[in-house]
Amino acid sequence: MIPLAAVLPPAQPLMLAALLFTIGAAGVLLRRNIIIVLMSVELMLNAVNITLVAVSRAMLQLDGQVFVFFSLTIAAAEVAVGLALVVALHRSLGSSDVDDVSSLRG
Amino acid sequence: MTPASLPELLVALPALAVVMAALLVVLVEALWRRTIARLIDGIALAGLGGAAFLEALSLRAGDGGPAIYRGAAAASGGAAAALVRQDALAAFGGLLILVAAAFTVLVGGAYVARRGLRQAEYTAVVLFAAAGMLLLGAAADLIMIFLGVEAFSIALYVLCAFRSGDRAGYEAALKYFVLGSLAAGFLLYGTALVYGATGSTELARVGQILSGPDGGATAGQQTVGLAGLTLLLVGLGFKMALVPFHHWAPDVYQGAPTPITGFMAAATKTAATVALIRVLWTAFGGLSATWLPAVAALAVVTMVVGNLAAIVQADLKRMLAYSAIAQAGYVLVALVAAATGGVAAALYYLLAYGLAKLGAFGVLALLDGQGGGRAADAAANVADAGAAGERPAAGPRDATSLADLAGLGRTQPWLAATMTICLMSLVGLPPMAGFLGKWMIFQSAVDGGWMWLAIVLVLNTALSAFYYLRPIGWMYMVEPKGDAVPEVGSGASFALTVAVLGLVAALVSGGIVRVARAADAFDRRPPDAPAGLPPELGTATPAATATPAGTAP
Repeated sequence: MIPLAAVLPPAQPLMLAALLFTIGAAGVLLRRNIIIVLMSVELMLNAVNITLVAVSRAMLQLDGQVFVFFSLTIAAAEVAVGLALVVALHRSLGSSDVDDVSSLRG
Repeated sequence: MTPASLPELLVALPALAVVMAALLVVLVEALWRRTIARLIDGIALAGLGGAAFLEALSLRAGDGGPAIYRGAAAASGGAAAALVRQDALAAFGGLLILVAAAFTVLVGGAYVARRGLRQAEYTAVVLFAAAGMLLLGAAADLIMIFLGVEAFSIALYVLCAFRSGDRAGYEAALKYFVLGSLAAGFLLYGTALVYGATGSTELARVGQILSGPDGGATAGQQTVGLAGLTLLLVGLGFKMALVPFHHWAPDVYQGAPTPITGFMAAATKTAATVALIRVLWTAFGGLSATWLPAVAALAVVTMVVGNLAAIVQADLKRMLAYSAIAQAGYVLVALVAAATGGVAAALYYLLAYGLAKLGAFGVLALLDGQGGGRAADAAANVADAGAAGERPAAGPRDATSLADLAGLGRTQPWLAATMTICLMSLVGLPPMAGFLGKWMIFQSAVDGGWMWLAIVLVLNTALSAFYYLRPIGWMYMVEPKGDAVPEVGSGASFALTVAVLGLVAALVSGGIVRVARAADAFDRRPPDAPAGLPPELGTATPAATATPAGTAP
């Protein structure tokens, strides 16, 4: 077991991942089109995948790279449900803008 | 990789039994080509019952229950890493989840059938969600926590949008989906950071490295680990609906089908709480001095905001949603005081709270369709109900306003009594299980030196009595408006009876408290410096006598 502090992985992939994650999170919170929001979610998960691979390589373990497969599978399942929701909502609402989805409030 | 041996697979048997029941339900519907409600209910209950039996068997396991291990032991320092561990904590949480799922199947079956929706699909997806929650409750590894959270969340997104053509449901599902995915991203990033800091995702191993005698973590490792913990807290906080990550909860609770709302309130919270207990105390127990003040502050904000917002709600489901947020704050108080019996208090409280929430939402689910002539009452809640007029409504409207409860004490005395008992238990009035739960949390907080937190808890309880007692007034003091008497199916009334009996029996028998205390002995790090706790008192606490994580296989 070689911890991060002993063998720091190359900083660049980690920085890139942090940047992508931030862009993704900002996209989820700020963009109004639901499809773009879905894409931003994917960006967040893929940023984490980069982190996992970078850390796993620096530690000379395979575990982190195996986790990426779990994360990819989950992301696929999630986006399948998400797109189905967008289609259903678009049929009933005629819009794919987050701001139009606001009948529940109080 | 060594293939998992048979005894290892037995660990996952409760979740497998539930998944098998779900698959069977779908198969039966596909083969018979028509819905046989009793058969579907029977299969679902058999699967849940079998799983509950297996969970009950492992209640005695203490902290060393059997586990499924990941292969490639060499990379993680020689010891095989556990993915899922069926210890007493997992068993207690699992039993709660299974009860909630059985309840949702029984109450929801009638609800779904009345709307002409497919009961088999509904039941199967509920069972899939329950299986995901069982895995989350037994997760011993951060990756397993992520998988468990996603497994039940994706099923719940579908269930929220289950009424086809219903805009409120779609909207609830979409809001839950977007914020839930955001939370999943945070959860996974937190996992990656903890993995980067320690080289492991197994909770016990992370705890060992970050604080243990043989760990010797550097300051850098601890910093990255704590950053990871922050992200994990955000992710699990979303699922538990802690303030400030609660914004989805009122909308989703209001828009989702009522039985599903009850399921989310009871089962999701249980599973997420058990996972949070493990993350905080198994993996990060050694650094508790650093994060305890932050979690305590989170508990205060959650209690206060939840209760204040609940007071001003006109919609009952929204009111119960904010009350669920406040209740999560109470549970968080217990987690802060985990060193002094807080985990047992949290588990017992989750039981009392879960049954009460299931009962309250169950009554609302059975009342639906009675409010058809009172659409005007709902106009304030669903502002653009008229805009949906061109689309045929997907069945009866859900009963959600206080006016829907008017005169229930006369038209439906049995349902009114159920609702009253559940609400009184949620307040924490003395004859109910909720009282004992709150008292246990209070005691553990005081014992742990968190006097001010205990006082905030009591003040909030007083505050909450205001909005919990208001529906009781509507049921007994207001004249009934309609003359329609709701039809209540036998399965549903049976489920409600169980909830009420549970609330009473939980208080009468000390057995459940003992079981909760036993489940407290899970694998965790003893806290290094409990806040404000004199050392001689500290040695007498369960945490100090708990087995150190290092002895885990």
